[in-house]
Amino acid sequence: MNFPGRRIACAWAAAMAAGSAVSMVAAQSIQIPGEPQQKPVAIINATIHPVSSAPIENGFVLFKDGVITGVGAGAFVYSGPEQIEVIDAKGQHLYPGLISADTTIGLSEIGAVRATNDVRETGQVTPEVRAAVAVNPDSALIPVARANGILTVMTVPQGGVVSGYCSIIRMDGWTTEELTINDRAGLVIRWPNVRPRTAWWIQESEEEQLRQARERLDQIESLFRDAAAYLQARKADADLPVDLRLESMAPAMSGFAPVYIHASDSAEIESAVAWANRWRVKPIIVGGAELGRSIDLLKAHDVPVIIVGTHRMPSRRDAAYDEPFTLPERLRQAGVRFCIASGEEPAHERNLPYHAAKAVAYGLPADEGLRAITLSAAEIMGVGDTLGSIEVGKVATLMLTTGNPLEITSDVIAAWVDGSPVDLDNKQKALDRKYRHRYGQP
Amino acid sequence: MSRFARLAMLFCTLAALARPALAQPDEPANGPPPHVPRIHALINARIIVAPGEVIEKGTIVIRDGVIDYVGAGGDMPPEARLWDLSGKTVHAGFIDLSVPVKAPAALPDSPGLHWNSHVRAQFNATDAAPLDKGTIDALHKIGFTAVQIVPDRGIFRGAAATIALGEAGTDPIVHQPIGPQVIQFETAGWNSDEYPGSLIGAVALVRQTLIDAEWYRHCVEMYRLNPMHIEAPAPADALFALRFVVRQRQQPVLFNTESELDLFRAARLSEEFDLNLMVRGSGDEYLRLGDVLETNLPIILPINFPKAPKIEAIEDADSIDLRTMMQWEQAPTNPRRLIQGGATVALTTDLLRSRDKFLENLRQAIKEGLTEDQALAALTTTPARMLLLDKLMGRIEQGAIAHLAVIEGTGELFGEDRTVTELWVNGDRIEMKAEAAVDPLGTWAVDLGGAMASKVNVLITGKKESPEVQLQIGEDKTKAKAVSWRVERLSFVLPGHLFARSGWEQYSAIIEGGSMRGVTRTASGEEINWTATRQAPETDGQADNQPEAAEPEAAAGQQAAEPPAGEANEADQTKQEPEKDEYEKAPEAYPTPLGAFGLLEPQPRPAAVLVRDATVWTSAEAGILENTDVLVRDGQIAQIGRNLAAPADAVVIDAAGKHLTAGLIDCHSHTGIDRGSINEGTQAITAEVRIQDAINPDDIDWYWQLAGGLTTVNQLHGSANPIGGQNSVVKIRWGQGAERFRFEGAKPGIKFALGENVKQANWGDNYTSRYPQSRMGVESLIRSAFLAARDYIDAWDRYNSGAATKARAYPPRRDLELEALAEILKGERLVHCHSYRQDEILMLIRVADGFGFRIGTFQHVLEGYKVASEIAAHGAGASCFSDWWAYKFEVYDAIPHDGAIMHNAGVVVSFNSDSDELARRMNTEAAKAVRYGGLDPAEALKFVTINPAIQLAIDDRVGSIEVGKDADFVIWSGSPLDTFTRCEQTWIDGRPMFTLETDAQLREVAHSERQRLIQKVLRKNLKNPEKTKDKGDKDAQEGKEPAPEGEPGDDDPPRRSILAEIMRQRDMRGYDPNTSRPGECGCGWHAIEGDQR
Repeated sequence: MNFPGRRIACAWAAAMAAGSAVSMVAAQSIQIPGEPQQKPVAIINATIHPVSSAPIENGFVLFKDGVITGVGAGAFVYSGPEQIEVIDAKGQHLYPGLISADTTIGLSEIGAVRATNDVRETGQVTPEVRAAVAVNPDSALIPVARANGILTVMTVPQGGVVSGYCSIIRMDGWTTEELTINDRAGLVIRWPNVRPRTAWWIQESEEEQLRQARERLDQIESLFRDAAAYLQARKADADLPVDLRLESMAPAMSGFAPVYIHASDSAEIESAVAWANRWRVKPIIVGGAELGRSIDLLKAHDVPVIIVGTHRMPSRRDAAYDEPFTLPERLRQAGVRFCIASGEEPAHERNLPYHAAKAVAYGLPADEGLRAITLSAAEIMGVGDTLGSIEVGKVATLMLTTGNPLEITSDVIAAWVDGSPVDLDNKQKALDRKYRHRYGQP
Repeated sequence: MSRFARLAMLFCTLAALARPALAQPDEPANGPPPHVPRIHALINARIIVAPGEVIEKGTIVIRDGVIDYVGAGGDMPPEARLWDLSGKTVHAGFIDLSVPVKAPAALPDSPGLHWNSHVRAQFNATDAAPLDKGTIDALHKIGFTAVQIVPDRGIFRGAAATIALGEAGTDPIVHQPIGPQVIQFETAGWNSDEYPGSLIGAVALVRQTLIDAEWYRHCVEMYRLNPMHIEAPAPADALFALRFVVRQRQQPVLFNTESELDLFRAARLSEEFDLNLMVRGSGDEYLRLGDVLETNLPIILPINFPKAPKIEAIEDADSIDLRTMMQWEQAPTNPRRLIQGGATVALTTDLLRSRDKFLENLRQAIKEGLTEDQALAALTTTPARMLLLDKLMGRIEQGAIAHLAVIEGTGELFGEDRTVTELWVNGDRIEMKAEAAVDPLGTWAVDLGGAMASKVNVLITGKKESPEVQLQIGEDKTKAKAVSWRVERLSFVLPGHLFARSGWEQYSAIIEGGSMRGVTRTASGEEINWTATRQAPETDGQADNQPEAAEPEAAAGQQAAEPPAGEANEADQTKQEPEKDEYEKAPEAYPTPLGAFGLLEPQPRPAAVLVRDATVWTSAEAGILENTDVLVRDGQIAQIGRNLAAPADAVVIDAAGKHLTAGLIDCHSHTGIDRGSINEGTQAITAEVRIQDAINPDDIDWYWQLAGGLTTVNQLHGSANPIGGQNSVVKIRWGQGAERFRFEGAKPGIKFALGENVKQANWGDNYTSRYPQSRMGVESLIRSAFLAARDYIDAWDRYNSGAATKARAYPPRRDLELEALAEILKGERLVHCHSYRQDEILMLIRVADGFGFRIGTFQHVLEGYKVASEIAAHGAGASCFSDWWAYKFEVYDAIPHDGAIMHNAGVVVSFNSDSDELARRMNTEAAKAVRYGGLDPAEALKFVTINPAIQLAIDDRVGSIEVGKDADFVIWSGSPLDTFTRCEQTWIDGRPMFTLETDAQLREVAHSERQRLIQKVLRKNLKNPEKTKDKGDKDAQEGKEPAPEGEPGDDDPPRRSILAEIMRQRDMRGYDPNTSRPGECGCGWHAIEGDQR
């Protein structure tokens, strides 16, 4: 084969070289963000998994200035003017980067250490806060997740009733601004638990629980009412003073940003969907562990679901042991749009693909399993036009693997975010090298 | 009953003394002293002498409190006062063996007080607050004449006592002042500072106290025989009081159980300490009926049947699990099953929310097949026998105490209309229902002698004792003021303007049957006489009598489920089909564990099983064998090879294309531990507590874990303290009892813990005083514990060898905590140590080296890779998470390569779950050692098979597929390391504990049973709509000990326990709160810390 570029890079060797420069164990990530893409890159001889279409054996992908410009099968011939970098990925697999649709990565470093947590603001109603501004670009958790192909995430504020805006983050960059894809990707609402529970650890009476639920519902309702009035007033008279909280409601209330409603069982979902329709906002259900009867409703209103984890216990004692495993397939069969998030602590976000794998083991077609953590996630998050699949025109956020990323034993050999090569080294690999050295282990 | 006969004479003689005739002299009388003869003859009564022995018309003569004659004869002593009981039935007064009495919160301080406030064996129930009137009246109303009062507080609560149930306010006659010692596994929860905070701690405290009592008895005896050369034993009131408990079963023990699992715990203690045991049951005995019957324990049985669950709304029904519904259905069969199964059962009103429910529940038990005679025996002869007072109580016979109950009628004893008219307690009559008591309730039409045009009515509503009065003129009603109802005389005040007069007018009336004769005094002092006649039918005395609410059409419209009797139209015919008496009995068979996925029978063990043509991961030297057969015989692996011949009786499984591995083993679990009893965190060292005391075989998590291929589990104590409790190794023998779960012969172990949890680093600002607060202190504490253990060994060695000095030295006190530590030093107990940082791992290795023992496993050991060579040199195993990190500061350096690095350094490594959920997929956890450590797949699988078996010293039995090992194996749809693989079958001891086929059947059964029971509950609830509404759902919480009537309940303000708080927080975050999660290890304090602000 004849390549004008003529430089066949072994990506993993580059990664190793970068990694060996790391000589100390740092409390935070010291990986250097990738340079903006300088010249076109062609990955050839790989099995391409576009997700949006069938896999291409022995295919190639070309990307330039961070955008995919060519996808094809067979021999790769480049006729452009500039020098290009060609990567021979024979025996390897190219996938779009994995997308985590519900995490707190960047907002929380060590769960038990309060000082390292920026996941929740005080108060029940805080639509003014945005996750993106508090993401720590040097969190040691980011390179660990990245090393398993998690290249885009939705990081989500927690707590309260209206938690704030979740943000779409690319997993490589120098500053929060470089990391941010969309800082107001959606307004996060935690739907009150409208079905009273009884358990020994619950001391509130059913009446009290219902009263609290009612109170939270009222908080949501009055926020929307106040915001509607406020936004109308501001439209009429732009000189009225700004109310930061109500002003922040504009993207969600105009339908520009969806509302991510965290709700678990059908009673909550039914009430949430009815509410969303009334306010004409775009609901996305997050959680849905017990969504059971509400499937038809979700289908009827085309409300997508972000399934939070398949590595869960069944929701009730009488449920089938595999209830969490089969949920994705049940949604698929019912025609409800869904994607799969992990629901794990941010440090364990790397295990996202295995949640999808569990669904595949229990009936979800394998290509749907992959789609649930790539293209489906991108579509639900509103970035389906740029992310989630390998198609011409989409951004080159890609990973090269030894095999199916849904298999634990597959490794990620190289990755690109917007065409920039990602350093796949991390703190854990450095510690691994350090202590293998102590024992003389290879 | 030989077990009772063995009671010491002490108790019998005390009982015999309890005769009022022999009471001490009275205070000198003020005036002529009364000499009312106490000689009575009850004549013309139907007499139930004892269950099954009836005199249709007979006489009972009572003389000075004792039954002098019973029979059909007519020779009345002329001096007797006659009581004609024609049309009535007399039976022996009932005996309730468990009536709680309020003990003081703290015993008075004294030198002999036990260090632990739960140990108050010296307390006597007779010193508790007397029973209040409400309790006594409620018991009388049922027909009880004698009760055993039991102190309501403590673990060793003190001695019960049997008293005659005289009228409230009188001094009770005591039949038995020192009855059984009452014990209950009382705990205050995790947030209590006092030991024990858990079930396992409570069991340990009971054991240690009984040991101490025997030791103390021995020492006192030694000193009594010869006080020379030895110090007098220090006073120890509780231990002294227990001397008859530990000595040849002289004093019985009454164990209050909170579940059938508690009953087995009590039975094991009874075996260990040779106790003369009876239990107060929980109502759950039927859940493991066979095992309960096998204990042969006498049971004082509550009939606190659960209320029908609230399921009318679909989502409410969804929230109720099948187990709860089955409990509702089956609990009423409990008395019948126990009694007809041969158990000695006395019924009690204990644990009922209201004693008014007793007869109602008893009737339900009778509908479920308990016979009237059995019920009567369980209330009379059996409790009398259990008290060893069967010559004195329980039967109506000559010489017995005159404890009698007289009921209306001669029909059923426990019918709906059962009314106790009088009781005889100790030969004294207590009138229960005043004959012809006047009932003022109703509508009374007033005859004013034609003075008024409109109709005038007096409406009397509310309670009979404190009625409300309204005067109705035409449609107008006026509420009367100052209503008072004194015996047969009603008075009230109304304004005069009702009759066009002025001022207030006073009314007074007497009632004579259906007529009322009254007088009204006007403001001017004029008196107007009037009469009234009762209009509405007489009320039956129910609380809510609404005379005006007689709108039949409304009632019929609203209550379709209960159409007015007699005039149902034809369309309604089907709806009212289940008549009141058509009681729907509970099915005879029910699964174990109760609820979904329980089994009617334990899984059978085929004589032989042949698995054909599988890819066999042996986890042994043979490695992975393709196309291989495995033959199982009698629960063990008999042969491995190709083309094995199938024995004639073999179950053959075609496993072509499938993979077979050994059953997976989890070296760190907190699954199936009863009542959240994972930590005894109140003390820094709790080596005496044992997880084996709290195994819960019914936890559904077990079944779900079987479905992931898990077969053997190391149940560990949590990590709240440096030296925690003893572990329990179990096989998941689903459907069987806790004892059958235990891995017989597994080497004992114990949990240690280091680092942040034990120094309470993440518990919040209030936890800064318990030693240790630093890793420095952790080392010192452990070192000092082992020094104490070494001294303990020495003390016993000296005592056992020094025959010469033994006579003049007290024996060392057996100490369960030091005993466990001593076993570690002797190499008889494995230490499983929760650890993270390299410094603390090395620290413990050096401590162990110094004391000459080897650590069994380091658990979590997430920085083990930093000291892998030291761990290997020491010889400890390492059981870690595959890839967890960064959930707290000490795991910030954790790496997923940990396991592989340690393995390569020569350490035996396993991956564990520490999580109910992770335990369902240990196979793919093993795959992470391939991914991050580059291990060979067969080697990686060993991390969850043979390696944990080696670590638990059970590798001779399980962990690999080798001939001679237990047939614990899993059949997988593909490679066990593949994320797309499913577990298809899990076998334990050659029994199929989980298969996809059985699972499908169990789901089907669960579904149809749910629907059947939902319908049954609906029929029940809709038939009685008022009843489900009345008190709200707090009633439905069965099993909680209610406060006795008339008492305010707990003194202590309710505190939300830390555990409850953790659960709530998890629930709010959408986790299953019951699920323990990795790293929390029962110590998720940090979760609160983060969430509370």
